[in-house]
Amino acid sequence: MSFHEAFVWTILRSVVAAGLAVPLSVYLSRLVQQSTGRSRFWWMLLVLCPLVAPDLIIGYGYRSFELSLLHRPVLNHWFYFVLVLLKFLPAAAVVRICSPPAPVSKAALHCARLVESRTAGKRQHRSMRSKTEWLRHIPVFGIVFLLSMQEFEIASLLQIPAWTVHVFDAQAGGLNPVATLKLLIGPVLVQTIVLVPLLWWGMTNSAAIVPRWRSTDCVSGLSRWLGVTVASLAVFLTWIVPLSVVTWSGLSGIGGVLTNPMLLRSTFFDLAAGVALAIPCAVLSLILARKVMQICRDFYAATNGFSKAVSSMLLLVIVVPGLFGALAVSIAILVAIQHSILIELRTTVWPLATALIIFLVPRAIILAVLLPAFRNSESTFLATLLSKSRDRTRLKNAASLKWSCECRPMFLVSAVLFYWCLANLTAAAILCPPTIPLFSFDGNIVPLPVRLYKFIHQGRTAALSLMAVLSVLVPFLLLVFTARVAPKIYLRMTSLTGRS
Amino acid sequence: MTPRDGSWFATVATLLCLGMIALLSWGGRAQQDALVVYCSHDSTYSEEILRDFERESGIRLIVRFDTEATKSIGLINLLIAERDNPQCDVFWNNEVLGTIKLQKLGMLQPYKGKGYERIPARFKAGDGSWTGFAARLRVFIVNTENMVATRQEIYRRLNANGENALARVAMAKPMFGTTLTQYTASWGDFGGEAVKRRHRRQRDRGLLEVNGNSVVKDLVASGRCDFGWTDTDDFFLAVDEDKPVDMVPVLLRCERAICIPNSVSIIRGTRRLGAAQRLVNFLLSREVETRLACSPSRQIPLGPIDPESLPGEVRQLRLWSERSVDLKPLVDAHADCLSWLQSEYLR
Repeated sequence: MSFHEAFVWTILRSVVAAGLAVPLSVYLSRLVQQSTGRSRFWWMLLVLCPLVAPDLIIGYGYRSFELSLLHRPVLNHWFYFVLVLLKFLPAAAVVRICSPPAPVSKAALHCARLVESRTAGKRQHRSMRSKTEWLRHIPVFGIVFLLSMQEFEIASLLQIPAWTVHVFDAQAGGLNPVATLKLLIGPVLVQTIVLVPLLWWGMTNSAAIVPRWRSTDCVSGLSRWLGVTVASLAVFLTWIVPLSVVTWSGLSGIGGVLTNPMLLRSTFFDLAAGVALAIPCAVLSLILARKVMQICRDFYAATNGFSKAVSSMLLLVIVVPGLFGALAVSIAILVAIQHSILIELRTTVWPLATALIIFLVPRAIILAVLLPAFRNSESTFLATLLSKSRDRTRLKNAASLKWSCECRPMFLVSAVLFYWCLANLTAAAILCPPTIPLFSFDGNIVPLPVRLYKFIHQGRTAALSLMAVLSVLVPFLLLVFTARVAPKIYLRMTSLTGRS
Repeated sequence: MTPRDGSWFATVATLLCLGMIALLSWGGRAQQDALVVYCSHDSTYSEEILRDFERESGIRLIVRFDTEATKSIGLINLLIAERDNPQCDVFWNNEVLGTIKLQKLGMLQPYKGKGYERIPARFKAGDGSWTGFAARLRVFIVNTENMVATRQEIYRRLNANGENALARVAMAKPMFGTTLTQYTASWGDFGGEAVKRRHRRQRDRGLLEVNGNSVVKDLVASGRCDFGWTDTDDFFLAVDEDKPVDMVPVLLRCERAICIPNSVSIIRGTRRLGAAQRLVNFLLSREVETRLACSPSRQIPLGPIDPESLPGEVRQLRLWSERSVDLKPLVDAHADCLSWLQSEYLR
């Protein structure tokens, strides 16, 4: 399939996925909105976890299955389409939860319906209703369209024609970066068409974009059942099946890896390098995201036109590039570092770190918007009161409460960003320097997804499966460990400084 | 925490993070005394050999590998991009046409050492710019449960007419790797127009184009395809997995096989010439060729070697490699072929 055919296919696929995400996300968002207390956390976990499913594991897990579908390209396309839709549906659900309520309430619509039955004003009711609904669908459609358009890893491993695969292969396979950049013009233009209304919606509603955990809509048993089915299917297809396949295959590779110290060592160092890079990138993107939100608030507080113009320009410069995806950002940076002034940076991790931060900032903003959802104002107030006390026990309790109310949500958001950063293949494959020096180890160290991607193309082996499992398990265990240790460190630090 | 505390925390965190990234970059600068090797040979086999060189010589190496999807072309492009400011000292390429391209661009430093002397003239540059070693053959991999592994049967099926006549035949996308070398060799032998015609005819009849030779191997080994084009190293992986496969070498005019050697060269402008020369000699040694021949990839030694030290399959392959196409004159065909393929696939 030529580049243009693949491009058109990607657009069609993305439009259909985004179109389906609009109604399906309603069911998922209601699952979260109708739950309360601790159960909300578990529903959120069920609904959102496909979004952080590692693409390489999905592609690798289904590789064998996909080979059996190669003779049935239509089925293969459908299978990929379902995977992409289920993976990005959670993003649609998040956007729906955070969207401002409809300008015309359900009660108003009901009144209109009552009136129309007497006055035959059917057209007016319909126009009210469509205006209400369409405004709420713009961001849901836009986000899923963009994510689906930018998908690369799964398409590449499942041998699906996509513009991203063509551009990636062309760049690495001989086309000079400027020519590759030209290939990006079409996809970037199409994404811009979707981005403009999305940004307009974001700017005009920024004050009202907050999570709404209570929905006034009545939920029927059927729609709840549909929501649970879609969420469970998404978890099953993006996490359970691929991870089980890879783990099963990896179990027989334990012996092989243990007897190959070089493989074990390189896996460990690749992971360590990835972690060492992902931590600062995740933290910096979160800091930038909070800064952007601050600018956004100032934008509305500003009274003169100049301040508004400056803050909106800043917003566009910081947020928009990342919305075009890791591939476009990485190639743009690659072209930039061909310039003689920047060429020295090619052997460093600065270009890669920059690409990751730019890519993560919009995602960090979405997560930061969710942060207040975890806060309990009564607890926060109590913590503030307690922290003014001179009593050590009360101070300790204040710190403990502060950790639960403010720091833990921040930690969760950072953990998700860290994981996205660690699992990102596109930027790492394009911008990674020859080696990332770590602990004076002289071997070739690259972020683990880059090595895994190479090995996956060479075929499945038990050792590779084990490496793939480790790439998920080790960061997860690291996060669990940090989640346990961090509160203790926080309490210790606050008791040392005497304030919380 | 007051807003003031928050901004203090953000400033400290920003500085710490920037410091961490700088540390990861600064480490790279600290290793500037090391010999930089770009290597497109499979890291599973090559990394151990390079580490052994490190241990024996005491010379530190930094190795950059290619990605399987884009093969050596990615590294060749990188070398060309770095032409005015070379970062690499030694290039271990798992094929030869890209290396010849670098030679034509004047980017290679000639060196005729001990290793160069033991390799036959057909597999090395006359001026010592590069030297070939440890080769692979381009072969048809055939599923023996689906068909008989003979050249006649393969070509009978390849020449069959019908919209889906080649639906059970697989080939890697020809823009990269050894499939590109095969196209180039055919381009040189039969001419560009014949290659274009055959390529389009095969696609029209449903030839399955996949991402890489390993996928071809998997498809044939699992019986989902009857046969396909791959390299001997991938073929032997299927053999080691006890799959029902056999191979038939791909032959051009005059029954010549397509033998693709690894090549090693020193990049012009290196500041570590002595260390680079030591590594080149090491890689071209009989010991390294024997090791690669005995590895699961069964690379064919090109220099004189005791046949008894080689596995049986490799001895058989050596006979084919001795009457193979000379790839040296094909560099222009390579450029033309690649440019045409890019226009076909990136339309």
